[in-house]
Amino acid sequence: MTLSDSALADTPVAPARPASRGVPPPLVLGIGLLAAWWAIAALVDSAVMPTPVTAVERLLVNLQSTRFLDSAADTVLRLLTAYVGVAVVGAVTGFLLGLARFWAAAVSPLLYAVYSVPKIVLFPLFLLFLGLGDASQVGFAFFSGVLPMVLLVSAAAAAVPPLPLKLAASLRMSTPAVITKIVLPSILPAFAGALRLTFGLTFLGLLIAEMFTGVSGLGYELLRNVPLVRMGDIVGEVVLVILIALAPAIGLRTLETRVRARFGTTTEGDGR
Amino acid sequence: MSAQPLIRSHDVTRRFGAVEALGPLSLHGARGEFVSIVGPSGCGKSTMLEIVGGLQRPDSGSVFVAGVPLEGPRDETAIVFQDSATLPWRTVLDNVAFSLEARGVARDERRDIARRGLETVGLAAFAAHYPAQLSGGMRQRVALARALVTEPDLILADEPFGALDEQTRLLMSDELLAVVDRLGCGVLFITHSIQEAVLLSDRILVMSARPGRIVDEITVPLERPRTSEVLSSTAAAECVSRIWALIRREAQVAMQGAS
Ligand SMILES: Nc1ncnc2c1ncn2[C@@H]1O[C@H](COP(=O)(O)OP(=O)(O)OP(=O)(O)O)[C@@H](O)[C@H]1O
Ligand SMILES: [Mg+2]
Repeated sequence: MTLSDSALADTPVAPARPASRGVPPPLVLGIGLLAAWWAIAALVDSAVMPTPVTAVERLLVNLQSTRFLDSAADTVLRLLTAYVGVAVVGAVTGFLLGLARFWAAAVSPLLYAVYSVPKIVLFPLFLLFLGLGDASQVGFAFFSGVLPMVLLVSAAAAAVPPLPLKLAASLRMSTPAVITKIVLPSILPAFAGALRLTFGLTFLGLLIAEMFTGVSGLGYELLRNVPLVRMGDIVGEVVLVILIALAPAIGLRTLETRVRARFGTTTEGDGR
Repeated sequence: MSAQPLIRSHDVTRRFGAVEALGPLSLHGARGEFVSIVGPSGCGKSTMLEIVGGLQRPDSGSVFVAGVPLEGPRDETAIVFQDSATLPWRTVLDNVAFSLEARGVARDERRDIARRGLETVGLAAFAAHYPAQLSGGMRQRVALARALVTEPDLILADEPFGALDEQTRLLMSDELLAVVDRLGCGVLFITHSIQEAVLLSDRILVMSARPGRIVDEITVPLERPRTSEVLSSTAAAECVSRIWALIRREAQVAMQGAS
């Protein structure tokens, strides 16, 4: 090795990203699953198992109805409200908790305990305190996502590597500078991972809440069709739910990959 | 040595719980003087360095730097840590500029200075890379550049060349000697390599096994300024073998003490 190493340095810049070449594997899998669905639907009784075409047809018909559209819009709005709450409240709480060791030691076991309780048993409490409307649904969705967010962010904030902190101390950096220049960048990868994870949990919580108490919302629509055995409608709605979740899920996944590549100490993903 | 030393520690001790890690240890170093510390692993070298850097407080004893009792980290001291401590989310250039940023130097200016610092350590071509794209030894050079750009009057370096290959180690030693001569700063330098200690130092302190104390002190009879070429001189070779003999004795004593 020479002192300048310049031969290695023609093309510098950002860390490597996973190469995407040809058809992305998830798309292949998606098409495969669709084909499997079709095959099964063709084999079994079509009244129980509609084909993708029937499901999409029913979905398109439903989307003509204002009531259904309103329901879908309600769900999206509630999801957004709850998720923004999860991201902001969860991240800030987790961050403060992670920095304050005493409180982290005091509160974390409690949070883990609550987290391990199946959340649905607590839903009656939400009904009791927040009533039958939007508040209890958004509240329950928020509750479904916020605990993992707090736990993941606080664990990351408590685990900021000591060496950069020592460096900051030796440079006599102010506490705000240490937080913005070292602590926050260090926990960004964990935060991005938590954003992805909690989106799904929040959405799940919302759909469950809507099933139990809704007068609107996709969860409510889903359950309403069950006694009527309208399988085409039900599966059509499931397709819609997947479509609503897909774009944010892909977006959050991409965000996480990029943040990990840029801010992570190692360049590997988390393998999930 | 000058009348007022840059560093003076007196009977410094440090313990971690039941573990007596250090001391009592007294040392001194003058402005412009290069002092190396060699000693067995775990004898408290890093601990002593952090105490002189103001990052840890001694349990007893006193430390004066530039004639003032040490209260904490000071602006004119630069530390190169045992592991490189680069920030993975910053480019190499901005890692070097980090120490200037902490001082409030404006963005363009600190990048200019950082670019020159990278040239000193031979990494100018890697300014836009991220630390993950560098080898461990290259990262350590980034950390060295980050320390040098603040133009400190005291450099505390904890095995900064430990991860480098032999050739790069010699080249970096020459660069460090040149920079130290230019800045006229004092250096406290930890190393495992006796050759490296002889090449760089005016004085070498040999530490005992834990709790570390200074058991020997060797003045290196080589003129400064010097370059790695002095290593082929007989004076250097004699010095190396003398320190070897001292350290071998120290190691034997430590092993007998342990059994
Ligand atoms: N933060 C700490 N907590 C507890 N023990 C510590 C701590 N830091 C150091 N020690 C102990 O103090 C002793 C001296 O550690 P130190 O890191 O100073 O050794 P060293 O001479 O630098 O070793 P090496 O050459 O391996 O780097 C060791 O026994 C170590 O286990
Ligand atoms: Mg050490």
